[in-house]
Amino acid sequence: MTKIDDLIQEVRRELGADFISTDIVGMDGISIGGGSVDPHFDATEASARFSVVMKLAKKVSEKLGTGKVDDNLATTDKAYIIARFIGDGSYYWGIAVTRDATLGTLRLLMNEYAPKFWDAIPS
Amino acid sequence: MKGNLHEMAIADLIQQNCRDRKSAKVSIEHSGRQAFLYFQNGNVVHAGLDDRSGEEVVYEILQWNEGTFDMESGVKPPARTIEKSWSSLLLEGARRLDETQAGNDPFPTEQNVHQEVNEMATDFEGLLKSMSGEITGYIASVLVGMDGINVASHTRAKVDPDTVSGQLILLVKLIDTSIQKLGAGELEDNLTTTEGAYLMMRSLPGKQYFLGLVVDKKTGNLGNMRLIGKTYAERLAKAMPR
Repeated sequence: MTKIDDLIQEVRRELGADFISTDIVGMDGISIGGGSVDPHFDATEASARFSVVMKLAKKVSEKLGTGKVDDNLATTDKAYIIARFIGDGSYYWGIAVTRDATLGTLRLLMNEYAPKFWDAIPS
Repeated sequence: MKGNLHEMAIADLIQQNCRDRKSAKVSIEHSGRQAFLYFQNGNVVHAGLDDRSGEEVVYEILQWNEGTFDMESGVKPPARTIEKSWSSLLLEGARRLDETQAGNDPFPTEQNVHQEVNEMATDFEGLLKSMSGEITGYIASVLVGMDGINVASHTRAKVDPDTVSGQLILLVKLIDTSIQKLGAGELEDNLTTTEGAYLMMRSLPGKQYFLGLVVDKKTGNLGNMRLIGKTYAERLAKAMPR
């Protein structure tokens, strides 16, 4: 098991029943680790789609002059979906949780684990 | 507390006072006429206008969009002329308002339509301005259609509202499509956090319009922005023509 897989297991344990899916994704839309526990949520498709979203978010922020993008949070009636750039921005970390999850705790968890994931990506 | 009906509709005043279970008197002035509402134990218990009192007064003043109000807390009602719950009053008021609107101007003239559109834009801008005072670190807000065209906007800094609308709607459309394809539910809002700002888009019911918000990241507060944004999206939706 790779270091990334270990970290993913830790994040899953921290989130418990609220966890739906998580992936570490390159900006080409290909996941290098992760997966979904919900058979209705396709992690591969989510990885590809949100890489396009993150690219557009960067362009939008450039046009508005609001600086580098940290993350994007989409709230639906079923889930929170967060995508956060890690390291130098060549990868992002995507995570989906149920609406029962505590958003503040999730953001703190992402603050803690984002640098760990970046360190775990083989250079 | 004083205010005008552009900032807070009579229905919102009733809802807020009843939910807070306040004892209060609210005086409302509209086109030279003065009405009174009295609240006690989480309900409207008395209303007066001209020489009339009771429920019918509430239904009439719920149709007032212009005017001012003045609220005094701790005032006891001089009489009890209303027995219905506040929610039943608002439901009946909304039903009568619909009937009145349906019965008015079956063939509106071009002038009337222009006047209505102008009044509507003023209402929206008034709401955005009022919202700006409640959000810390506020920079700009827009009410924008799915076509990216601004319905109303309000900015405090040198920001081009058309650029804000165009860019944010582009992003939210892509996210909405992605969410739908993933079967992850209905998009309620999207928040992009950047180095300098929070960029939020919240959909109004029906998803034809979005409220866009730009808030300074250093001075803003995420919870405050999400809560106030949600509240005002509901108010803007209420102000939309049906």
